[in-house]
Amino acid sequence: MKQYIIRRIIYSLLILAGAIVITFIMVRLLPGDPIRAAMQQNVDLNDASIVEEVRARYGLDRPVHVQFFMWLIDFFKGDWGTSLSSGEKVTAMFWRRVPVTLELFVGATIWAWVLGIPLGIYSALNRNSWLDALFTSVSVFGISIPVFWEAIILIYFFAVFLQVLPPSGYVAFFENPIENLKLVLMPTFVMGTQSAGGLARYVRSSFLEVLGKDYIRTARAKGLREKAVIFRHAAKPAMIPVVTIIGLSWGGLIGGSFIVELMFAIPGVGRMGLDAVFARDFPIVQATMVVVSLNVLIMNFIVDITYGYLDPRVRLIK
Amino acid sequence: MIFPKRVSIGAVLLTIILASTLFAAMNFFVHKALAQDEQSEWVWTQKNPKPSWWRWDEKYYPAKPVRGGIYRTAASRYIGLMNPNHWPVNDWVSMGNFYEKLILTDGNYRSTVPFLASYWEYKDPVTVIMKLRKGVKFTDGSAFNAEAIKFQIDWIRDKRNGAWSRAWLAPVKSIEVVDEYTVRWKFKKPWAGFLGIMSNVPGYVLSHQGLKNDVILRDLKKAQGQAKRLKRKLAKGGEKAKKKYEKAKADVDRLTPMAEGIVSLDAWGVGSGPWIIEEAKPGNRMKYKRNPNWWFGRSIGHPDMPYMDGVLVTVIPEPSVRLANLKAGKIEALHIDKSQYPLVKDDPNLNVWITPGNHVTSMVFNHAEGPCKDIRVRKAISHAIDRKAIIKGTQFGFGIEASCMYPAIHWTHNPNLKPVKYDPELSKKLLAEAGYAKGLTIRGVMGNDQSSVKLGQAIKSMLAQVGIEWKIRTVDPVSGSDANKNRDYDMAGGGWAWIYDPDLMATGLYHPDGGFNYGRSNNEKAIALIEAGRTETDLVKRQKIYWELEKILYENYEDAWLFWYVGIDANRKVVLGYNREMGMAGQEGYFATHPGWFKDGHN
Amino acid sequence: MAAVTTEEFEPRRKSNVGFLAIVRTLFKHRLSLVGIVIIVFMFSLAIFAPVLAPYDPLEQDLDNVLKGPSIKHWLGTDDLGRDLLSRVIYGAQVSMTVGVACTVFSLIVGTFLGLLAGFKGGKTDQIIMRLVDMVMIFPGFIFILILAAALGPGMINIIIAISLFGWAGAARIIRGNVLSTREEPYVDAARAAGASQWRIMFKHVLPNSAAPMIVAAALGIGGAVGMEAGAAFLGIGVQPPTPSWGRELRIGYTYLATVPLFSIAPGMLITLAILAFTFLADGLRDALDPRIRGEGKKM
Repeated sequence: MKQYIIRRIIYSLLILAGAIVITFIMVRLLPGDPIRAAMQQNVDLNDASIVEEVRARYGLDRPVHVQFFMWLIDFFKGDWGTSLSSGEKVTAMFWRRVPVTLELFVGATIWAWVLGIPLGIYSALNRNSWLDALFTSVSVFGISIPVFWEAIILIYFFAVFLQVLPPSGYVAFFENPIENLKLVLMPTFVMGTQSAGGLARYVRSSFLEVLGKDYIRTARAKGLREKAVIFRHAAKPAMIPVVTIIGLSWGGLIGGSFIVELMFAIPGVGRMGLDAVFARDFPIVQATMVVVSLNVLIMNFIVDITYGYLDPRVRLIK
Repeated sequence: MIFPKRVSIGAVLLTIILASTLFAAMNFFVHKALAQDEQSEWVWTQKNPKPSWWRWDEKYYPAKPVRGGIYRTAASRYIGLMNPNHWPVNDWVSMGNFYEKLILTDGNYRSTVPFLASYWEYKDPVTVIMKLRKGVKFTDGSAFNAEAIKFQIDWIRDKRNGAWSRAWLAPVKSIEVVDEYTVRWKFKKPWAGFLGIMSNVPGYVLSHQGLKNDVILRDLKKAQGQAKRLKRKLAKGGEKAKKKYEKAKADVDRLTPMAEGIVSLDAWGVGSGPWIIEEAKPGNRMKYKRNPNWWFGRSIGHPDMPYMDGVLVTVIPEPSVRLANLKAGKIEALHIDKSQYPLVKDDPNLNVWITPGNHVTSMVFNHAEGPCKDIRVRKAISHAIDRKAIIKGTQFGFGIEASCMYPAIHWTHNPNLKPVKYDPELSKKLLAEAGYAKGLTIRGVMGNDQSSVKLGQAIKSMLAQVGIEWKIRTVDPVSGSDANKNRDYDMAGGGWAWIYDPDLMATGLYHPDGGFNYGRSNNEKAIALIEAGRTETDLVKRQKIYWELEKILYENYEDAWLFWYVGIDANRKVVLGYNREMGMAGQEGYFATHPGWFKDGHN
Repeated sequence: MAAVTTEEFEPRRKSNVGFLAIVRTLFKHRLSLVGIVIIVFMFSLAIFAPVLAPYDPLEQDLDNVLKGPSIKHWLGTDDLGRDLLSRVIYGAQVSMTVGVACTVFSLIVGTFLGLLAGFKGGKTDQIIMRLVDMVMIFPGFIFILILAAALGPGMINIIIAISLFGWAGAARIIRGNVLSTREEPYVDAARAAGASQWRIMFKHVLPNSAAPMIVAAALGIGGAVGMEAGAAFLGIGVQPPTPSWGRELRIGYTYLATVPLFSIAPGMLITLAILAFTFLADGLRDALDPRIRGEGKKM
C-alpha cells in the first residue's frame, strides 16, 4: 500500500508539472499584446515607448522561458503576480473569490445529494417500475442539459415570469444571509443537477449490485423487515463507492462554475478566469488553471487511494 | 401680435428693469460671497468670459439645498490603482471624487474653465504663465501651491516613477516656480494642446505630501532590492560590491523609518476634492466622507458644499444587476445601457436624461493597401451605409448621424459638413467605375462584444446590397489591437471615446506618429493641418484649422463616420440640484461645481 | 456540456453481436428510439435547411428588430430583424458538423495513440498516458476555451480545439481494451503464428474495442455539440453572421425579459441534440452488451 501511495504521488507530481507547462504554453499562445490593447482602449496614447515600459514592468519583455521560471518560482513562493488588467495582486483577487465559489460548490453538492441519492435509491428498490423509468430518464436529462440553457430557463421562470427570485448578482452571506441564499439558490441548483443525474444513476446501480449479494438474501431470509435490510445492511456497502464519485464530480463542478458564474453575475474564481482569458491577463489565467488542475488532481488522488484501499486488486493493475 | 403696442413696450421696459435689478442683486451677493473668502479669485477674462451656468441662485435650481445623506452609486470595475498616472486605470469616475483638475472643460469640451489653475496666458507659443488658486489644501493637510505643481509635473516626467501619462507631457521643457502661486511653463516647441492636457490625466492634482511619500517608497524599494542583490554578490566574495552594498544598506536604514506609516497614493488617493476616502475595499466598494473644508464651496459663498455626507460606490459588474439596484432604490444614479431604456423611461421614481456625449463610432479604412486605397471604393462604401437605419436598428434609436470625426457638440466640429447620404445607386455606380462591377470582396475586423458584432452585421448586409462582400473576423479586443497594428484589414470597426483635446484623436488616427495609425492613413494635407493645429495657440484660429481638417478628411472619404454617441443616465428623483440646460452648457465644468443634494437631506 | 464519465466503459469480453440484433435491441429500447428520431430530425434540419427555412437567415430588417412571435415570423425576429426560425434551423448545420467532425477526429487520434500505448507498453505507454492524464485534469470547457482563443475564430479552429481535448478520453478507453485483450489466447495464438504487431492491433484488438468506442462516439457527438454551443455562447468559434445556436442563445439572453424565445428556442435545440445522443448512447450500451441485451426491456 505504502509503495502504491508513493507511486501515485510521484505520478501526480509529474502530471502537475506537465499541466503547468501545458498551461503556460497555451496561455502564451493566445495572440495579441494585452498591455497595448488595454492601454489603447483606455487612453489616447500616441507613444509606443510607454507601452513598452509598462510591459517591462510586468516582466513581459523577457524571453518566454525566463518568464516561465520566474513565474514558477514566484508562484510556489506564494506570489502569483500582478493582474495586468486591474493592477491588483492575483493572490488577493483570488482569495477574495474563493469563498464565493466554495459556497457554490457546497450548495451544488447539497443539491446533488438531496436530488440524486433518494432518486437513485428509490429507482433501485422499485426496479423496472414506471417511476424508475421516469427517474432514469430524468437523470439522463440532468446530465445532458447544458448549463447555460438550464440557467436561462430558471431565470426566465423564477426571475422574469414569477419574479420570486432575483435574476443574478451576489451578496456575501455575512452581509445579508437571506439575500445571499436567494441569490445562490438558482446557480447552485444548476450546478447541482449535473452531478445529481450522475449520482442518481450511480446510486441505483450500486444499490442493485449490493441488493443482489448473498448476505442481503440471508438477511431477508432471516425475516428482517425490508427497511432494516436496506438501511442497516445494504446502505453502507452501497454508499462507499458513491462517496468516491463525489470526489470525481469535483472537476465537473469546476467546469460548470465558469459559465454559471458568468450568467448569474457571481464574482467567483471561474468568472475571474473567464474574464482573464479574454483580457489575456496571463497571471490570472495561469493561476486559475494551476489551482483548478491541482484541485482535480488532489481529488483524483484521494479517489485513487480510496479505491486502492477498498480493492486491493487495483494496486496491482496500475 | 396679441398685446397692443404700448403694453408690449411697457412689458419690455419692465423686463429690462427687473433683469437689471436681479443682475445687480446677484452681483451684490457674489461680491459678498467673495468678500467672505478673500482667498478666492475667479479670473474670468474678456477672452474667457464667465459662462452662463456660473450661478447658484434660483435660476439654477428653485429648491434650497439641504445637507445630509449618503449618495450611493455603482461602478463596473474597482479602481486598482488610485494614482491615475499609474497603469492600469480602471475607473476614471471615482478619481474625480478626490482629485481635481487644473482646468475643466466646458460644454464644448474646450478647456476654458479655470479651476485649480485660476488663470493662464500664453506669453509666447512656447511659454505659459499659470496662476494657481489660493487657499487650497489637500485633504492630508499639505498645501497646494506652485511648489506642489512643479513637484507633480517633474514627478510624472521622471522616468523612475513609471507614469504612463509622461507621454502626454513630452513637449514640456521645464516648469518653474515664479512665486508661491504662479508657475511658468516652458515648451520644447509651440504647444497648443497644453490646455487640453491640463484637463486630462496630468492635470489631476495629486497631494504634494502623497507624491513625496511615493518617492520615499520608490527609493526604499530600490535600495532594498540593491542591498539584497549585492549581499548575495558579497557572499560570493566580491570585494567591489562591499562599498556599494554598504551604501545601499545605509539608504535602506535611512529610508525605513521615513516610510513607516506611509500609504502609497496607488492604494489611497488623496487630493483636494469634495470627498475624502473613508474606506477602500478592493473589488467590493469605496466609501467617501465629505470634505468639510472644500475650497470651492467657500470660494463662492456656499460653505455647505458638498451637501451630502458621503458617497458610496459599490462594484456591480453586471449591467442588469446595476439597473435592478437602481430600480429597487438601492443606488441613486446610474449610467444605463441603451437596451435598458424601455425599462426606466416610465419608472415614476426616476429621472431619465438623454445627453449627447463626445464619442464617435466609425469604420476605418486601410489606405495603404487593398481596394480601399481607391477613393471611389471608400465613397461607395460610405454611401452604401444607411446611418439612420443603423442608429435605429443597433443603437435603439439613440445616436446622432455623424458627418465627421468630432461630435457636433465638440468645439472643433465643422458644422458645415452634412452626414454622407445613403445612396446605394451611387455606390453601385462608383464601384462599377472603380472596376468592381461584378462585386468586391474586402476583409474586415470587428470586436466580439455584442454591440460591435451587431453593428458589423448590419453594415455587412448593407454593403452586400451594393455588391460588396465584407468578410468580418470578430475578435476579442486584444486580437483586434493586433489586427490593427498589422493592418490586417481593409475596413475595420473604429472610433474614439472621450475626445478632449482634438489633437490626440487627429494624431492618433491620421498622423504617422499616431498610436493607432500604423501607416494606414497618410493624407498629406491632413498631416500638415494636424501639425498646424498642434502649435496654434489662438483658440479661434485653432478651431478654423480643425474645421479645415475635418473638411479635408470628409472630402477624401478618409473614413466612414457612422454616429455620435448619445448617453442615457437615470437618477432617483430624491436627488435634486441638476439643471439640465446648465448641465448641457457646462458639462464637466458644471458637474464639478454644482453638487446635488437629497430632497429631505437623507436617502 | 454533458458530463461524460468514461468510467462506465470497462473493457469487456469480445462480443460477437450481430448487426441486426443490435438494431432490434436499439429499437426496443424506448429512450434510444426517441434519441434516433431526434437525431434524424436534427440532421434533416441541417441538410434541408435551405428548403425548410421560411426566410434567408441573413436577411436583415432593421425596422423590425426584436419582435415577438407573429404569423410572419413564427419565433419572432432577432436583434437585427432576422427571422429567428430560419436562423435556428440553419444553426443545426454548425452544430451537427462540429459534433460529427470533432468526434471523428478525436476517435482517430485517440484510437491510434491508445493502441500505441496499449501495445507498446513501457515508456511509450507511460508518456501517452501521462499526456492523457494531463489533458484530463483540466476542466474540459476552459481548456477548449483557451485553445480556441489561441487558434482564433472560425469553425475549423473550434473543431481542432474540441478534438485536442476529446482524444484523451478515446485513448484511455482503447488502451484499457488493448490491455485486456492482449493476453487473450487468440491474440497469443496470432502472435505465435507470426502476425505483426500492427496486424494484431487492427485485425484483433480494434474490432474488439468497437463496442465501447461506438458508445463513446455517440456520447462524444453530444458532448461536442454542447462544447461548441458553450464556446459560441462566449463569442468564440463560428463567425457571425453564420447562425449558431450558442451565439443566438447568448444574444437572446440579453433580451430575456422582452423576447424570451430568442434564447429559449436555440437552447431547446441544443438540449435536444445532446439528449438525443445521450439516449442513443444509452441504448447502444445496452444493445452492445450481451449481458444486458438478454434482459430485453430496460429503460
